[in-house]
Order: sequence, then C-alpha cells, then structure tokens
Amino acid sequence: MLLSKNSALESKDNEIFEVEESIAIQSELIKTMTTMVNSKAYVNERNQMVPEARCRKQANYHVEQNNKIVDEELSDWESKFFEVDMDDLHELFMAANYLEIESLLNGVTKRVGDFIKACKNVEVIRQTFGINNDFAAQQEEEIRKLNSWNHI
Amino acid sequence: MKSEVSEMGSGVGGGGGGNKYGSLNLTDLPQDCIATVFSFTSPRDACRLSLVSTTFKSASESDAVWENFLPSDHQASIPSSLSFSSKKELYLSLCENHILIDGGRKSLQLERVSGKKVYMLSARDLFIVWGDTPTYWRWISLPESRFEEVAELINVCWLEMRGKIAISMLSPMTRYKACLVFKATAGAYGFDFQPAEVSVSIAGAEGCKRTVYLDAARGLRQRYQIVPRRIGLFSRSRFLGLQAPVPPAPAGGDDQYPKTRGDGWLEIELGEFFNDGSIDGELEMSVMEVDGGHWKGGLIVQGIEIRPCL
Repeated sequence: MLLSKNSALESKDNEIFEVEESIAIQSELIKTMTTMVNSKAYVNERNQMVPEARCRKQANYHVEQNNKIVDEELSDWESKFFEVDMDDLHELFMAANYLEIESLLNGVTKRVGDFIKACKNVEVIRQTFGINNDFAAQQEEEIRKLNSWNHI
Repeated sequence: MKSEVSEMGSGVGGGGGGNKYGSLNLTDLPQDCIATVFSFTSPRDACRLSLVSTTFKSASESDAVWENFLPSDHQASIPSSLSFSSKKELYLSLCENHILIDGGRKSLQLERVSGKKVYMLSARDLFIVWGDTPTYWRWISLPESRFEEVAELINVCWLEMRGKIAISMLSPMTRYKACLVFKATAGAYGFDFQPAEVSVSIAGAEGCKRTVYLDAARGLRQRYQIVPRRIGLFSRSRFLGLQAPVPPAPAGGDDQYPKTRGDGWLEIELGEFFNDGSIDGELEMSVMEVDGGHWKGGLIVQGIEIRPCL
C-alpha cells in the first residue's frame, strides 16, 4: 500500500484499485493497516478474502458519499446502489463487515431488513434466506403461542 | 422503500438457485450483525423471525432489537419500580397494560404493531370550566376508570374542556387522533339536538374544528333510522320555555357520533394531527358547547386519548 494521497488496494483477483486515502480509511480495517508496517506481501494476504467486484463497488460508494451531494440525491443514489439481488447483497454484507465500513454496513442491513419486512410469513422468510427449520414441532407451537399477541 | 421490494408470497422455490432472489445466508454473519438487521424490521417481523430457526430466535429476541422498537425516551418514562427481564418483555408489557405517569394524571401505553406511544390525559389533567364548582361538576372514583378520579357533569350551560400535551412526548412521523373518552348516565340530557364544537390544534395556530354529537343514544337512532322524539321530563329546555329545534337530517359520517370502545367507555373523535417530529410546542384539544345556551348534564368524562391512527 502506498502512503500517498491515493492508496492502492489489491484484491483477491490481483486487481489494483487506486482509491483516495481519505476514502480508503473509511474502512476501519484498512485504517488500522495503514498504521502498521506496509508491505505489498502483507496487503495481499490480508485482502485475500475480498473479490474484485466488492472492492470496486465500495470504492465507488465512498467516492459518491464524499462528493458534496444534496441529501435527496444521495438517498436516491443509495436506493439504487442497494437495489441488487441477494447474492450481491450477501457479498456487500460480507465485505462491509470484513472491511468494517460502518456506512456501507448500515445501508446493507437496512436493505436486508426491507427484504424481511416484505416476507408475508415465516415460511417465506425461510425460503428467501435458505434457512432450515431446526425446531421440534412442540417447541415451534409454544413459540407461536407466545407470539400470538402480535398476529404473526 | 416499499415500492422497490415487491411482496413475496409463498410458492417461491427454497434456497440456492431455485429462489429468484438468490440466497443470502445470514447465518454466516456474527449474531450482532443479524440483530442489527432485525432491528430494522418491526415488532411483528421480529416475532415472526423467532419462529424461523433457533439462530434467528436468539437474535430476534435480543435486547439490541427490542431496544430499537421501544420509544427512545422509554427509560425516562418507565417508573423505576417496574423491572423486566428483557426489553422484549418490557415492550410486551407496555402494549398490554398502560402505566400511569405524570403523578397519575396521564397514562402511557404502546400500540403493539408499531410501538408508537398512546396517551390518555385524565379529566384532572384537563382544564374544565366550572370544574371546581360542585353544583356543576363533581369528582368521583369509578372502578372501571384507569385514573383515580373522573369528572361527572351535573349540570352546566357553558361546556368547555381543554387538554394539552407537549408534542415532543408523541412518537415522530406519526398521524395521531384525539378522542374524548366518556360515558353518559341514564339521565343525560341536552346533548341530543345541539352539537358540540371540537378541535385539535398546535398551540397558537388555527386548528381543525369539527362538530360532533355527544349523545350516544342519538348515534344509535341515526343508525337505525328512528325518528327522534324527546318529550321526556328531563328536557329542561322545555321547562324553560325554549322550544327544542327539530333535529337536522342525518349529516356527516359515523364519526360525528360516539362509538363504544373495547373498555366499555364511549369515545368521540376530536380531530387529527400529524407529528413529523420537527414541531416543538403543545398540541391543544378542546370540546365546547357554548352556543346553545341551554342546560346539559349527565356525562362522565374519563379523559382525552391521543393515539396513532391505524
């Protein structure tokens, strides 16, 4: 990583992105790394989990965030940015979590929250997120009773 | 955001490639991340999520999630004498039961689906003209009232009741409606032919005025198309030689007449108010009948309820 106005980040696919340093350090992880001894080898190792697409997206995300955009435009842009399918959302989520980028994480969690809100019932939630029901029948019945006050 | 995420019904293939939305495996993520996602949903969704799987149950019941559904100032509002094992339990309790605040002058409850605040101002919290004069009003205790005292209207010519509440106490981004909560005694009179003027407004501003009838029996007559004939002994206007005007033809909707509440009391809507969270100041509500010049009596007032419109 070069300690200059721009940081070069290398992703798992060996692609190098040039990102303004002020944007790069929005990732808590990268911020921590810049204070450590810098070596390309080190960077390679640490970034191995992060595939190309994610890095590019985040770089763009931060460029836009840091430009002086009017609030309304920003929220429009954010809505479009997160209008992706589940697989992409999953990647964004993992990346935001791994790179510790708070604003990105907030955006993704809200979007996933919206997906949940759109699910009409428990079975649809299971299907949407590929979750298996690991409750015993009686346990499930008990929980349903306990939560019946909220008309689920 | 709702328009961007279409309703997902049943019948979509499960997991992996079969699902049109792909598959976001939340269980990869740390618990606190999952809890953060859940806190962006709603109390109802959180209850649903506790049925999905054991992992989801544990995350959906965490304090981090339910803290988010409780009003932001709940710590200040809840008496310290009450303690709960979890935030979810606290939320549940506040939905099921109201608590008395402000020295017993008001009650607070949460609307269960949204977690928004519901208040009732007791009669003692209202400004009632002639309220302290025993010939006109008296203060009694009723077991079916949540407050220590309710106000019983014996007899007045000038009926004026006003309530107010700091707007900051209300949940933001919520449309509220205010209702007078009351009962009529068997001998209630003077409310059948003369409507009352009610209003809800921000202090200092011109509000929304409506006319309503405080006569529960009239409400029933209107609905069942019975021709009203009040020749009863209790019609004081006749004693005074005043002719009761012929009641006008049914006008306005059902909300001009009292409705029965689940708790056995009657209520009449005074008006609505949208709190966008930016307005400071007080919300004022009033009930007035001062134009008829006739005597009226036989109402028992519990208070004014302010609750979110559903």
